[in-house]
Amino acid sequence: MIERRKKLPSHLRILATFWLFNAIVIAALFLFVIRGWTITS
Amino acid sequence: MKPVLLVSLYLTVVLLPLVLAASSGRPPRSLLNELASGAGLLAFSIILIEFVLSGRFRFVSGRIGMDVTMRFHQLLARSALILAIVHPFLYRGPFGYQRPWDVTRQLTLSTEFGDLTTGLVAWVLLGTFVLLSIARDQLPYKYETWRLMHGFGALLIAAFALHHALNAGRYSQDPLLTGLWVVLFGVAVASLIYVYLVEPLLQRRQVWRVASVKPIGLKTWELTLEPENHSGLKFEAGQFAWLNVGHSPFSLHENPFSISSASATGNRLQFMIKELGDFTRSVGQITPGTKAYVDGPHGNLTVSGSDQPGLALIAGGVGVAPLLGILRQLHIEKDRRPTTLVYGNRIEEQITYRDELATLAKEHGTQVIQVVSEPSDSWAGSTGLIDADLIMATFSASEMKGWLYVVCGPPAMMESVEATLINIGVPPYLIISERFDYD
Repeated sequence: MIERRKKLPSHLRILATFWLFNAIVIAALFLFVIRGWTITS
Repeated sequence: MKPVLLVSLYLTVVLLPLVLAASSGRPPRSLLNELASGAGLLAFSIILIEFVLSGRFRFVSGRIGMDVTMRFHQLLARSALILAIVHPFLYRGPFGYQRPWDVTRQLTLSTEFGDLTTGLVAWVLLGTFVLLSIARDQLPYKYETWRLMHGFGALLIAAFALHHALNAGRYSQDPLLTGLWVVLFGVAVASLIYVYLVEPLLQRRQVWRVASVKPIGLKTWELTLEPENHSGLKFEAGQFAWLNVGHSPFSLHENPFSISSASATGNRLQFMIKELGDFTRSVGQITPGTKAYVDGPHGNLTVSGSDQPGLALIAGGVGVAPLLGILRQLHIEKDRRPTTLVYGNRIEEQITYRDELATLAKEHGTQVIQVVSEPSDSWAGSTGLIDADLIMATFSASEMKGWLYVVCGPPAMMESVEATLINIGVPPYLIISERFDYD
């Protein structure tokens, strides 16, 4: 079956997804740290 | 598994340690200490899932492609490395002895030699390991040596990191997180056992023999295998397999090659192999009857299930192998959709299967366009690279909007052709490709 969600050439699609992963991971890390900060303050 | 599900599952597992740490109820610390712990937790979970990404599991790579899976494996290792690098430098203490205000030692950071040493060893090994992996092509190691080092090096890193997390880690003392680390480490070890032991054992039950090896172009060989006392491999035209010729299935002497035969022609497997590396340079010396093992099929460069009104196959060099398999299959199945093969090479001597392509043009109606970038004076075909001018001269506007485009070749050629196709109006979802080099 052909995947129909592609918007970019494959190598750029991989990089875009990779940076999306990183953004989500950084956002989660931020929330984790802020959680501690809000409790301490 | 569907790509969206796969991505969601990946993110869930990567972020789960952070969620468990946040919900462990431990008293909060300074921002930098929390950031340091969070970075360490994320780095370790990414590292442990790397084992699964590199394990050639079809439930992972079946839908998104082995090339995409392996590229993510490489890229995510870099993310893990950055998180691991910053992890120890962010801690701000208090370190060492127990403070009177911290009787449970929830807020004091451990300086126990054993706990920190395993972390330090994992930290140094991970940095070295990722850098060595990025520079693999420039290193004097044979592929097999590198693969063995990669597998067991990764296991060492995971084992040291596990010891460090369970002993020095604050959040990892929580029974739920401890359990998660043990389970993820178990999954990582099981992945290695599958790749290095189970898969070879399965291959040993399905022996293949080399039926023939013959030259088909400049430094290019056709290797044909036949199954020994089994029914062969069920595959779809365009897929590839890891091939081990003349070595034990446990030896790691295996390389990925596209299958150039069509499954409908019988149980023999045919591969087109260009002399490029340690194994490929010695293909010409392989004698018929040599034992071989096949790990496959893998990959999703297939047109089965496609309903587009025509198929455009665009190949560079030995990248024609899977596309030839697809053409052969379409011809045997009497698929009447129009097909066009654009086949690029540097010089004429590299062109393979001229006679068969001429037959396919005559009997199947395939339009075959040969392109040579460094032609001789006698060359009568197209010249140059597979660029926008050539593609626009080959395909009509309706073909560009509706046909399925299958691209295979060297990375630079594929990137250029894919970008060109998109620029001239081919919808990106109608382009499928697969690569074996990722950097």
